[in-house]
Amino acid sequence: MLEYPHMKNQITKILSGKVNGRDTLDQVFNLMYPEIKKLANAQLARLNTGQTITPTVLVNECYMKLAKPTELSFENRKHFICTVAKCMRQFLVDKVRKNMRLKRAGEISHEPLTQLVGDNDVDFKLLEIDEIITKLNLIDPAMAELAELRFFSGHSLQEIADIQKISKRTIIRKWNMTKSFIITLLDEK
Amino acid sequence: MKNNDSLENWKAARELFEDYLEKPSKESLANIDQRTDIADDIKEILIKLVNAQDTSDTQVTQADLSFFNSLEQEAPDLTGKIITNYALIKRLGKGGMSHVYEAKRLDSDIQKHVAIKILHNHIDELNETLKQLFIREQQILSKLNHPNIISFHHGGISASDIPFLVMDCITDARPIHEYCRNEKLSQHAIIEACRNLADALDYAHRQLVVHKDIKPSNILVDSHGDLKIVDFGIATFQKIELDGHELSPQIYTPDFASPEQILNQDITPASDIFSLTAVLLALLTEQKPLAHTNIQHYQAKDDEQHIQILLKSANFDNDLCNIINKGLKINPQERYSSMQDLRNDLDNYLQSKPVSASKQTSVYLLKKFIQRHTLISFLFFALMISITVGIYSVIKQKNQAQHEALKAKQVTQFLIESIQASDPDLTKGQDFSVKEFLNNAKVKIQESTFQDRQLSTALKQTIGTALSKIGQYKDAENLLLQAIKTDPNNFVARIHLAKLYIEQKLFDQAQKQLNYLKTNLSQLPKENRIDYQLAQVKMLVKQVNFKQAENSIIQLISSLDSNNTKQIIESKSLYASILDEMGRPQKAIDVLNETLELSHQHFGEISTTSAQITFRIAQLLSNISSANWDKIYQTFTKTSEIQTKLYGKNHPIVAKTHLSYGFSLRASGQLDKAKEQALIAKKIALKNFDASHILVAHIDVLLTQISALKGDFSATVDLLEQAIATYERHYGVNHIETNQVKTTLAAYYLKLNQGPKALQILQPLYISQKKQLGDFNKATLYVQLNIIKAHLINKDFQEAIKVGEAALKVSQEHIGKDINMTIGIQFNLAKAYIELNNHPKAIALIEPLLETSQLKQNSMFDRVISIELVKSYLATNKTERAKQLIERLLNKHYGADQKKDALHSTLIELKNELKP
Repeated sequence: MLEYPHMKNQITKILSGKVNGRDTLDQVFNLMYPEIKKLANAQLARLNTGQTITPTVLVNECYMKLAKPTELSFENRKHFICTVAKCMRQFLVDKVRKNMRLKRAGEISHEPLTQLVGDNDVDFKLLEIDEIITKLNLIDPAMAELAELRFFSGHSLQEIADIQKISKRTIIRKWNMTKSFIITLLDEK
Repeated sequence: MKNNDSLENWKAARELFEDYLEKPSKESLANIDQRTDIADDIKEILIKLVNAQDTSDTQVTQADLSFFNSLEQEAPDLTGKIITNYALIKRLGKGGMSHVYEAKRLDSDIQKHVAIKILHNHIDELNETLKQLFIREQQILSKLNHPNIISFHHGGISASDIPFLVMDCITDARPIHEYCRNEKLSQHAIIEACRNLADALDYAHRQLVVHKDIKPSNILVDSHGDLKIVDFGIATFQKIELDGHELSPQIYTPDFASPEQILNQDITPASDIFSLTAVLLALLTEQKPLAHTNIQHYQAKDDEQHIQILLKSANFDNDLCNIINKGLKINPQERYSSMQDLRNDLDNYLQSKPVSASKQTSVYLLKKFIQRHTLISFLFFALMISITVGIYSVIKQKNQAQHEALKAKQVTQFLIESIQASDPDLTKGQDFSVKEFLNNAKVKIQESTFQDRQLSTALKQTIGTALSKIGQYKDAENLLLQAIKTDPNNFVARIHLAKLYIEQKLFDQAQKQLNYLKTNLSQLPKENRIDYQLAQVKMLVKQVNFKQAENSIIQLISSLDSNNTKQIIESKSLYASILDEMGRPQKAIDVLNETLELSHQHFGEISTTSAQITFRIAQLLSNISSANWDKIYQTFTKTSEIQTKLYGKNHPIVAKTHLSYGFSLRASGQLDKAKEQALIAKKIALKNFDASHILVAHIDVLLTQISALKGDFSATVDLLEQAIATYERHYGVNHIETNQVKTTLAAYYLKLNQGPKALQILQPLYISQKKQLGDFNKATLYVQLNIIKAHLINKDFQEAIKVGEAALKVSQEHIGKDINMTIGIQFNLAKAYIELNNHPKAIALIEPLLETSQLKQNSMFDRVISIELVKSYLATNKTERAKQLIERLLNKHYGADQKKDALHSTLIELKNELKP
């Protein structure tokens, strides 16, 4: 039986130490990811065939289980949320990749196939998004982060603005930029 | 795609894009086009970015807001794929956690298909421990060998870490709730099925396997209608897999999961008991058994409430409710401690035996006993007594009762019949034990409030019926009405109530009950239907509609099965009474003789029924004057013999027989013998009752009749007045019986020549008798005869003639010419004519009388009547005839050794008158 408080402490510890860039966050990520995986799996296992679940719900469950963001300091909370988003992204990508791999191998894919049902004309596929975010990261890490948060953190633009302590105007502007890049990059394929 | 170079380009483009962000694209594009400081590659990117801004509008907005519309769970159809060495042929079922496929083994020639359950599993790494656990679980399951548990072959984990289970394939499997609904199974059948399931689960528990996920979809029915429980112990695997997390409640089907499962506490066999009971409830009510509205905040109380509401509206038997409640207790320890206990209770319920879930009170045990033995038994009465005394003896007696079950039926009959055999009259002073008991029971039943409807109505009906048989009509009515109030469809109570009303001539109320029965006729069991028809006939009789009554009873008799001896006898006896009332005693006797034959065969010669019938025959015989007195004597003797044997020589019923014989003797003029019988009767009666008892009054009536006939009127009238007082008290002022005695009193007044006094009684009496009995009844005619006599005394000769002519006509036609009654009327009519000096008419009336056997046998009649004729002859100068008649009379009645009386003197006088 996992002890969330224990993990929470660990995360807090790491986070409350000086955030030395990616190394620290990587640590947190490594700690968090297995848990997120289990949590998310448990969630998905709940679903009956045909039942849907929004990623937001999925991610919220994780938040609830792992830590209450308000318990962390502002900086830490930001990092925390970003990490969760990262974990969720990783989780979903892993899932899809595994399914594809199994199908290719001729084995029965018993994995529940998570299909991302996009809207009418714009049909974003998860892996594409993943790729794009990766590319974005090379162009501008800030954009990548925004995109990741937008798609995988379960937060609204406003909430993200709050987390990043920027104004609404700014976030909208930033998002417009990111959006354009995403579309352009998609076209490029 | 991109290489490092283009990456630089992109970065550059990004920088530049800032300036054009959120500016109208047309302008931006124009601007970009003009710029020369930007490389072409970069320009290209930039243009795209700017355009992207535009084109993105609605689409992207929608997209970015609803990018992840949903993650949909879709289990792929694996039909056609191969798992280990099975080929999946067809998907049989889809579940949340797994799919079931029909499969075929690849590596053998086994034709038989199996079912494979493939688990959806989300664990990427199945560690070794889990694997071993899973395998071990399958080994346990494969050892379960029960006709109602799906045969489990083996389980495993595929190369790609897919857990699967192989089991028997069920042909045309339907989940139990669908099966129950489609086949429209009765409550009984559903409970039987659940009992069988309990058996299977009990077996599993003994093998230390708990199912953990009992629900209707896990109980399948194959094409033969056999039950198969599937999905054993799967849940364990799931639980271990996802260990470490608060279990989502939806892992278990919440609809049938026990509280401890939902709260993720210890799961024991009691959980299976809970779930099976929930399934039972669901199948019976066709509704979800548990509330489970809010899993997040699970409240066991919500479940409890929901169950109570369901049970209340379903209106189940108490026992069934108790079983369900016990199975669904929140605290596992309060439930049945084993599946076997649940199984046994279900089984007991099916057999109407006591269930352990119900409180084992004496009342409860009694009710169960009554249910199993539909005839209210004598032992029931005994049990009733015990209830008022103490609980202990009931339980003891109940055990005895079960051994005596067969005897009980016969004893019942005896008890009821012996109450039946006695008149309401007789039981009034007698049989204190029964009467007292019944009265006690009546009081007790009023005092106690039986919560069990069925018991309440049964008891009230039984006691009410018994009370009516001993003549306590008011009390009987009360109880029967209560019984009906408790259970409007207590048809037996209604029939008895109708009979009660008919007896008291409350026809409207009787009809009300009969109407209710009529509308529910189809629901009546056959036996009760016949009772209903008999009641209808009785009503017709009381309403004096004899013709219709006769038709109905004949019809009823012909419709009866020859096996229904009791009812045939009852119907035929009723038929005989009708015939008697219609003035056809001979035919009545014939019918009764047939019935007696039947009774001898069925009940034996010494039986209450045979005694009753014999008695009736004797009574009828004495009404037919042409009967052989020897025969009558024989029959009466026989009757009293039987009765003495049955009841003992001091039983009031023996007194009644003597009385009846006495009446017949009196009617035939054997007055001394009659008096003898009357006195014997009185002696026995007074041994049992006091002087104001109706039986004593009956005897007194006979005695007065005898003394009147002997000419002694002195004490007569007083005694009779006394008797009448008793009659009025006992029967009512206008009751038939009372009227008869009043008639007798009137006759005595006549004898005493108190004409007006006689008429005072007779006139209203006539109206009453006519109304109740009809114009052609002997009793009515007898009143008329006395009215004629009264008129004669009062010298209202015209009136006398008026009544006389009418009465004579009826009497000749319906009673017969050679009967005393008719002779009496004829004679008195003649007397009236004589008084009016209409001798020819008188002669015409009297002459035929001389030819009657009555006159030939009865010297008194002969003399009295003949003398009047002589007078008429003289008055009409028929001297020759007068002479002859006088001679005949003197020779016949006044021979050498015969007494000479006043009449003799009159005759001598008349003779002398003729001499010259």
